Amino acid sequence: MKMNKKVISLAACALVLIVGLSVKPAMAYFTASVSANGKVAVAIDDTHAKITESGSGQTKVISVANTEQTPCYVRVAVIMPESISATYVGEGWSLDADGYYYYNSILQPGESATELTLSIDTTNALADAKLTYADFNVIVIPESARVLYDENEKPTAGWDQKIYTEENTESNSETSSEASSEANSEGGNN
Amino acid sequence: MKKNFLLNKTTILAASAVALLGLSAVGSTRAAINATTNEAIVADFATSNVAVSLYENEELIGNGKQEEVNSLLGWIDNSFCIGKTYEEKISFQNGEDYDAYARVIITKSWYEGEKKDQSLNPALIDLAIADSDAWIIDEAASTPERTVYYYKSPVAAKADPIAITNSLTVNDVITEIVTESTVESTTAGTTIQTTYNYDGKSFSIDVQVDEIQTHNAYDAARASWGVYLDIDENGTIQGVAHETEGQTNEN
Repeated sequence: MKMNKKVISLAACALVLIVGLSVKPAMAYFTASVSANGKVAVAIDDTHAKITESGSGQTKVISVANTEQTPCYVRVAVIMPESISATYVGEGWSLDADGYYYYNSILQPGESATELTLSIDTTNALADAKLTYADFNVIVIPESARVLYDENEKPTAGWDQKIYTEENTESNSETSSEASSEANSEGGNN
Repeated sequence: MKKNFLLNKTTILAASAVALLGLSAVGSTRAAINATTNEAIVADFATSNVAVSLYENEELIGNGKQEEVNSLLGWIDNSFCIGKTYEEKISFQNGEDYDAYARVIITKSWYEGEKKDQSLNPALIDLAIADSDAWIIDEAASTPERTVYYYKSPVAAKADPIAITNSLTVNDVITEIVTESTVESTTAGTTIQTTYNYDGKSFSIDVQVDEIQTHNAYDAARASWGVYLDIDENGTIQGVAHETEGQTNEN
């Protein structure tokens, strides 16, 4: 009988020990989690502006299009003999002191600017006795620049933007020069 | 005979062994039961309920069921301009029935195809935090790609969404950085090819929101997040540490 009581007591102690060891500190905490991801590709290119020309006589009609995938600003340089002058008509175009015709709005991908019409004036050329040529060239060069945003989120044209390598050395190239190399040069007979 | 069988030493030891096996198996469950003595938590113990949700510009993009409702940045199309600041309001909402502390992990990176390109600078992806005073940055856990934020105040149960970010800008510096390589060099001259480093690359943004209960938050953060939260008497997180001298391990 005593032996049985001892065995029972030992077994009870063992059970109490087991229960005591099993009771661990609470390991489960309420947590929640959510996540989301997004990825977007960027495209950086140089050549945006493509021109088409039409007109006859002393009128040249110029159309400039953005043929790439990113918005841009465009301008046009018109090169002709010094004794030749031109007046222009074109909604949204303006002639700057640097000699470029600037289109004032951003051209979205695939969009074309309004037509720029140049009326060539040869009055001074004909009066110049030194001129003996019967015809001359009017060369039109389109250029484009990226749309940049200033600190006030106002869009501006990156005509002065320069590129550089990771070592922060400034390259001699300018983004606008890339567009110039793709420009069309055409002449007009007058 | 029956009585002797029950008091048999072998029988008692065998019963103890069975009890040991049984109790060790239910050890975790017992902890859960202990944690659910609060009636409010018991009501929502079913994990099928929505917990924390993620919104982008007021559209649901992630819920607590780990289902991605929508991807981030799905609004970006071909008109997206590098250098322009766009509205990017990412927010989260505590859908639980209990107050919680929240942390947000924002990861920004560049990819070439499916492979991460670590030569490119993730800092040029500018995701602006809506209210920087409301968050503590865990500098020790943050890297150039990943920033870990802790929301200082406890988030009330079912509260209105809390703003994380408010705008996105991809710095236009990426349109200026190039790599030059010599294609051909002859006596007539050298041909150099210039390539834009970021052309054709993809920028990626990952936002993760984690919540823990405010009850026993210190222990919950230590167990779930591996951090020590410095919480003042108002319940506001004042700091985050990863190791503290003198901390005792309760286990």
